[in-house]
Amino acid sequence: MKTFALLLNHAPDRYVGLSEDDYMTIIQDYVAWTEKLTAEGVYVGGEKLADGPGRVLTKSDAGVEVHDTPLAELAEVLGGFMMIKATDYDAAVEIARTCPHMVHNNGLEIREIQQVD
Amino acid sequence: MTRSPSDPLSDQVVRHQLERLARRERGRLVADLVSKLGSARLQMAEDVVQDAIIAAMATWPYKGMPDNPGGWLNRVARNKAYDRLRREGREVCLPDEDRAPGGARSADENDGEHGRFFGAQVEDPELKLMFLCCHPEIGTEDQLMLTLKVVSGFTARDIAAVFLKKEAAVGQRLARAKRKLRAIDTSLTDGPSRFEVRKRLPTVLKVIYLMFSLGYAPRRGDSLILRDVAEEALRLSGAVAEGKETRLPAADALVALLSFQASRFDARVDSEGNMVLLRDQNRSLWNRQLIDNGFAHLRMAQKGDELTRYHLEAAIAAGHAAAPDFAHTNWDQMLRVYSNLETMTQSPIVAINACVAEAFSGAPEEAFLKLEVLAQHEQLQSFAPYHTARGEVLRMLKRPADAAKSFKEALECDASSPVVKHLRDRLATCV
Repeated sequence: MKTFALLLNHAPDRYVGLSEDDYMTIIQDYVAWTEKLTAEGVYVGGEKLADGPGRVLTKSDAGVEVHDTPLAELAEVLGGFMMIKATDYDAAVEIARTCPHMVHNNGLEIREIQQVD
Repeated sequence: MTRSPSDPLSDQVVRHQLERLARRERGRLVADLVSKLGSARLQMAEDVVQDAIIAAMATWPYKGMPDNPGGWLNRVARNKAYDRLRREGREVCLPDEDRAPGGARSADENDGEHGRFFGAQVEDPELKLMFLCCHPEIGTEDQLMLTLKVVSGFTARDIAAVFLKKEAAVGQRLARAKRKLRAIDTSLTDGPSRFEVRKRLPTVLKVIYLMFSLGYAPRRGDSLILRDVAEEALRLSGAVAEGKETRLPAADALVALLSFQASRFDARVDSEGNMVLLRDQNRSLWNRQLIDNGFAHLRMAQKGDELTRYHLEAAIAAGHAAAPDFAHTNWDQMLRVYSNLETMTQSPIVAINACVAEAFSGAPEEAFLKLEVLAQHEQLQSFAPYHTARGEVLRMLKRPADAAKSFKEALECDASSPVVKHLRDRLATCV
């Protein structure tokens, strides 16, 4: 069994100005999905990344420069990641297809986590 | 933090729990914090609980539900309160443990002449918060709105639907009521005196009544009954009726009314979530225990000579509970009680119900004429039950085209989706 990371991107303003009721509907879909996969032993864990700009470090001749991530200029931001168990990419894709992220957002990225042995 | 595979939560349970947390736990958490922080910090309590709920909604999709969601929210809200107090530069210690039931100081200790009693006379934390929100400095309607918002976790939109008002207007009034409450003498952080409790009781009862109404017939959403909301109202009414200083006939009458109404919950919805009308309900599904509770409290409500609208409404509900089937409903008796209730309340909504009863009693023409007169109440134009009642009466009068028009108008109003489906079905029968 391999472990895959689902990288969940969304538009920077996706959740801005949503009513609490609408937000709750979306959250219910996600939590229900996470709980179902957890019960099936498929869900490993996940983290929500904090909203707001991160920091970008760039190396230049003068040294290291630090900037806020230019959120407004990005088409999508990484909102968080989830980790699931699957036998291979095909199986992981089938699971990810059912993720509510594919209903409430435009897409996600799957990356296999490198195993030691 | 997440559950083990041996303890799966069904999709429905997860959704229900989340809904419940956002709506119901909010009031409980705010009440708990206010009892520790003092009423002057009502706004802070509301803010940190809101922050905790937002934190839950942000992280639970990734982490799954904690084993004890209510406890999780409580801990997060409490930590946020600590942070804020620290920023205020205060050394305040919040008691870590929830007070055990019955762990409050005894009533005698607080029964002194100037006893601020709150802790003793009103023990339920949500009930306490309710009495606080029903401060006489705030207008009656604003008291109701504030309590529904703070204690019961309703949104401005829910409240607007209950009061047949615009959402924006309700939001402004809530903000104003909170400002007032903040400005009021904050030295009385323990709450109103025992005399104040008596004075505020009618408002508290009305809030519980409205809370139940909202749960019994939500004006929007997917469910026909917001059962948690209605059951919480029933529980609060019981707490009032048992309270040392609040044990009055009106409270018993309210418990009776809510018990009778709640007894029909299982029969009001079929297995597909469709609405089942009173006349079509399988009466064996009515909850006998609640009906017995209703009659017991109705008997207790007869003590003294106070007669409230809850007495009359409970009498009507008792009439239905006592009838073996719809055909054997004692409509004459119902109409007499309705007539008293109309005189007492002057409420157009009561009048609508009275018209329906009159139509069933065999006088649909009279009922229709009265409904026409009620049309002058502008707020009823956006009230689905008015148009529904008119449609039903017109159907009885064999005027299907006019009935169809009324059902269409009902469909223009806010309604829960099972009600919308029911109205479409009724519309389809108007040919």
